[in-house]
Amino acid sequence: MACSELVMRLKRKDQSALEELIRKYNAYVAAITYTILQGHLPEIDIQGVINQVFFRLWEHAENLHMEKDEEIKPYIGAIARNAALNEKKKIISSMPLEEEILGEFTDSFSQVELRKLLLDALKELSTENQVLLLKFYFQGKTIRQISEEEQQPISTIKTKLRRSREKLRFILEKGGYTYEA
Amino acid sequence: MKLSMYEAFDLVAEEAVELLAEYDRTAEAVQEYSAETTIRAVLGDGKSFPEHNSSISDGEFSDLSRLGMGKKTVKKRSRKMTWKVRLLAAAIIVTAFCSASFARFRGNMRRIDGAELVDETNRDLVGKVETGIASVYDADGKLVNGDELYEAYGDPDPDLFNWRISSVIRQVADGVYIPATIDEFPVREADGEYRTPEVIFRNGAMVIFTKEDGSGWDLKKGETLRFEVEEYPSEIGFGKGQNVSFVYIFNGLMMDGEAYENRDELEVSFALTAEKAGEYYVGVMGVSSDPITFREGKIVKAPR
Repeated sequence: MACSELVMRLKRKDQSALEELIRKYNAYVAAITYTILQGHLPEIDIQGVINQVFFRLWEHAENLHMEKDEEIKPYIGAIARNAALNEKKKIISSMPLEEEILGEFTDSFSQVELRKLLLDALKELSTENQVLLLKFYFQGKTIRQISEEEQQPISTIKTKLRRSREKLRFILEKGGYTYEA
Repeated sequence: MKLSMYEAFDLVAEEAVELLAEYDRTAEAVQEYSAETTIRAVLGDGKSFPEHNSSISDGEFSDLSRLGMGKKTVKKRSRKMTWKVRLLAAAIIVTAFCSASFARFRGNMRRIDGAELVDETNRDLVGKVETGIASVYDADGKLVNGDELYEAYGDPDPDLFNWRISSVIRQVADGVYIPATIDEFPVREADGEYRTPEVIFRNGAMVIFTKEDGSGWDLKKGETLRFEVEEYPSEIGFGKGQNVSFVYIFNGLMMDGEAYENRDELEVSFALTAEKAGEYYVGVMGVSSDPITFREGKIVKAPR
């Protein structure tokens, strides 16, 4: 498979190619890593994760096989997502509280199936409630931060989060996907 | 296979990022991460490719320090929020006092709402046993004695995530008891010591002391933070101290400190020695049946 000229330069360890890619995709990588890590890590560490994404791209350049320059974007996005999620896992190392358990799934579900189930269940919530859950559980923001961002009282945010959590559990239980809340 | 909410949303990270990009105000924040900064960090000054450090658990790349990006810059930003946090805390305290007065008027009783600074509105409760009028309902649910529970105690908050409101605690270590309420009180710095205010707190309530700007104490490995305080004598203690449990918070993670039960003295002290460098806070929780009141105390940072 013929590779694009930019990818070929990267494979040859041409630093100017990496610089070009950083200029082009730095904002994209920053948006992904910042979205995932903003409530978990200080800014300087998020910059560290951004750097790591491009380090990895450089290290694994030999394995790239893109015919067009544009095809590298989703690849970089996947590296950024994985790097940020791995970093988050290091931080959230303690066991979740019982209240934070979404449910118990059978082991027969593959990751792909589980992803689809969760996405379908999430879509049954309003966009506002989806965003609230994501800000709290995915981005690690505190209720106080969310309250300030949404300009809603703390008690309202807490109530919406609780109801959304319960609804999500109910949808999954009703669908027979979880057997224990 | 149990799946936590955190794991569930990580599974759908791709869609989560897309959705949040639409609704979250990340665009402005992302501008802070310029391509030039990344290029300098990743490629150095274009002279040589820096050695790859795959571990970023401490969040520091050698090249970043060259860019003048220090942790102080980051902290400065978080401290900008302090005035908002204080305003919110003040509003909560005022609201708590108003609702508590209402409860006393209605029920001829007054309960400490978690933890409060000692002042003229609650000084009469210092050292007192917590009593109240029993609310009795008949079999049909009709109130026959005392006040409606709702009026006496206020609307109970069924949410179990109160601790997440704390601006200090981000996680709780496994096995650590989660308090019913968490209140943060700033100390006053004088002559190299930090004076803690008089506080009254009830069972299950946690008090966390912060510096005046809301931050904690930066300790190097081996340094010690010592909290010394004397308790007001209480009716139930018969001159002895009541049960308290200390915790400490290290970089946002709350961990068990030391529990003091069946104390003979009213004085109590707690010292924590940093096993790792970081930001530390001292907290104390009431584990006695009745409210506990601390006089002014002090927090001292001691070198290795």
